[in-house]
Amino acid sequence: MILKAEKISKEFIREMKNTNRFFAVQETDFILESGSLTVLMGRSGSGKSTLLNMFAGLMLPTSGKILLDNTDMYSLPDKELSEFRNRHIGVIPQGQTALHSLNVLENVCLPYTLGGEDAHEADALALLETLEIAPLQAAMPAELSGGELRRMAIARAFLRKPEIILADEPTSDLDDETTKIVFSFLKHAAQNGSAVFVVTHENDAVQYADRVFRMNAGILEEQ
Amino acid sequence: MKFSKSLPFRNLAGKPVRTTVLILLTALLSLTVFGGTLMIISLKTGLHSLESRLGADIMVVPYEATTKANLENIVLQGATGYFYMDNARYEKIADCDGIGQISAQFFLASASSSCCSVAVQIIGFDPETDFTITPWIQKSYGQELQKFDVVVGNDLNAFVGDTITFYGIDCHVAAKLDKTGTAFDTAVFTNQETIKALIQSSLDLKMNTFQNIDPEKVVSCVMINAAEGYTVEEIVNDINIHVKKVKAIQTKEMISGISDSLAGISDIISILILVVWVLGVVILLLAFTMSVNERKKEFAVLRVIGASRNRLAGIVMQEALLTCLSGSIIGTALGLVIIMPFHQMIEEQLNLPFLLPASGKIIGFVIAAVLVSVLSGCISAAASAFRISRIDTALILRGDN
Amino acid sequence: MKKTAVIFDVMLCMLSAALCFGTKFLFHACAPKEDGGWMACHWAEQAVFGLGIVLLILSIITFCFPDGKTKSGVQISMAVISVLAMTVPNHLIHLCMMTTMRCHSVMKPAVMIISILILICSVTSGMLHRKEESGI
Repeated sequence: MILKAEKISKEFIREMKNTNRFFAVQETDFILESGSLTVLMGRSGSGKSTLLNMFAGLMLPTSGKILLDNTDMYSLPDKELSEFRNRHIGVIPQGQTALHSLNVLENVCLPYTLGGEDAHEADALALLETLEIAPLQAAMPAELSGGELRRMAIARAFLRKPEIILADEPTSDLDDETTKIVFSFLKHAAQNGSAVFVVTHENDAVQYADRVFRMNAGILEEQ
Repeated sequence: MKFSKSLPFRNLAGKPVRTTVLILLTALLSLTVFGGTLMIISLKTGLHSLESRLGADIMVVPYEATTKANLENIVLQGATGYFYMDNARYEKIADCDGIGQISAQFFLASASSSCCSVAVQIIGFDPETDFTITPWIQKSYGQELQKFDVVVGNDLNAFVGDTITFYGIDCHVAAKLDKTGTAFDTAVFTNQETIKALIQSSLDLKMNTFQNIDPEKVVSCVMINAAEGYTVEEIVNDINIHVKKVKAIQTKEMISGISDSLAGISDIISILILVVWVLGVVILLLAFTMSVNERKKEFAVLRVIGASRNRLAGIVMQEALLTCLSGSIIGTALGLVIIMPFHQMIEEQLNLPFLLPASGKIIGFVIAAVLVSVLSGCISAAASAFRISRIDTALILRGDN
Repeated sequence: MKKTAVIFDVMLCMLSAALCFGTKFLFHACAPKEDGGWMACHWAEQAVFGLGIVLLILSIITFCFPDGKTKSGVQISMAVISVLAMTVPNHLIHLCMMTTMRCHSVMKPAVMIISILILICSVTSGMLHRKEESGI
């Protein structure tokens, strides 16, 4: 599956000195290919997360289109777009994203159970095993450290084996050892055919990347 | 997927204190709606029953029976008492213009019945002319009463076939009347032949406050229905002017005091229902808003995982439905447990006619109360559900960074 | 499972106390006659009070047995006694003449409700304790 962005931009209304218009993302073309790991770096506020959210179908671009195998993502009705995201796009959002009434395993199984499908617990456990948090499967999110919660979110994003993985600062809470595990994991997914897009500040990420981009004041440049 | 594993259920179970408070609140809401409505309806049914049981337009009693408010106490409050007037006055009343139906009644109070120390009101009627008591005795007992047969009101702890002794005379319980919710529920009814024998026995035992009366020549009260073409007021005036030492009373006037207090109580209960309902809806509205606000991020995460906007609203509505349904079932069940077994005590406390509606109607009220409470809860949650379906996922997920 | 059973055991204790002391002091039968004599309902009240004491003692004894099956046995006997308590007012012992009187309108329904609750709790707790014993 190819994710293609055609002339997309994102503009916000923001009170500033000369103008109220603020371009978080300037007009950009971009292709996210299967089987590759793309890393996007840049300073805070440079528009990285905005770009990722537009790719995830969570933020309508001000102009341009995002095509998934030639289908305009934002032309789909909400229900279809949501279903598509559930099946084909694994998103690892910023920060802590656990549902506090569910335990770790149930949180990881959510992409299946949300639609009333079978939980696929064996797959979830295998992922928890790889990310080294299997012993915590029955724990509640409140009992977990930031790093463990982050790994739980990664396992959740990978459960349905999505073709597209979008990760926003996936290693921000993690120590060096776990950061390595996570990047190896993302690289492995890319090698298995997924299109992986990672927004990060981590300089070490470059050594895992197939392509590296830098975002500067809303302008995307390949390095 | 098992219900206990569904997301709305888990969300509620994850916050036991909040869920319990919300359930108790809806329970209170449905308890008030159900209990209040049932009270109002029971009072209205009781008044209606009293109107139909009095069954006559006019009651004529000896004058002294009204000065001591004796009659009203007997008919409306369930007190016991008796008074007599000469037969000749009955004849005079019967001669007045505009009398459609007329029948005499005879009162006596038991001194101490065989079981307990409480006196029972005994009302005798003339089977030949009676038009007020016979129609509802016939509903429970199709035959004519024999000498020393009595019919007991529903609130008396005596049953068909039992023997009750009054002034040394054994009486046979021939029938037990249906509940009326009025003072007549604690009375005993019999024909004039029996009551005259009882009055005579009370005189013989020197237990009657009247000493020099002949039971064969007295009556206690005269019941009258107006003939066509005459107004009740005309007849009342006519009797009060032309027949000495008696007082004619319109039954409608007699129960007007009761219907006034009933209207007052109904108003108070209605206001109470309204206040609790409005308060309940406002609190539920706030509670659902807060509960959704503090979980905004969780809803944003669900959206990222692939929940549609409608699905998010659905989760909020399902949580509201689960809470309100369980709360309202608890509330109405509590209402049933309080009102059904203790209705007699409520009746005593209110001192007004109080008759529970038929069980079919009560089931209807239960369903209605549950529906009203669930609907109120869902309306309160609808605003939160709508707002959560419009969240800006990207903005919320950035929120804590 | 064990925790739930203990909650029921404590509830049984409280309900038995409510039946015993409530019948005597809170929802008692009719007051004595003016001459100081008692009406029939007083003896029903006394009987319920007696059954209440038995239930209270049994509910306390339950805590003394470590064995689940013994607890279960005691609670089944409590269930039987609660049924007996239900039948005392007006069935085994006649109450007053008018159902508008206190013994009918207050004591009888209160005894019925508490006895039904004791019945439900004792059967439930008895079943829980049985399962506990057989290790299910």
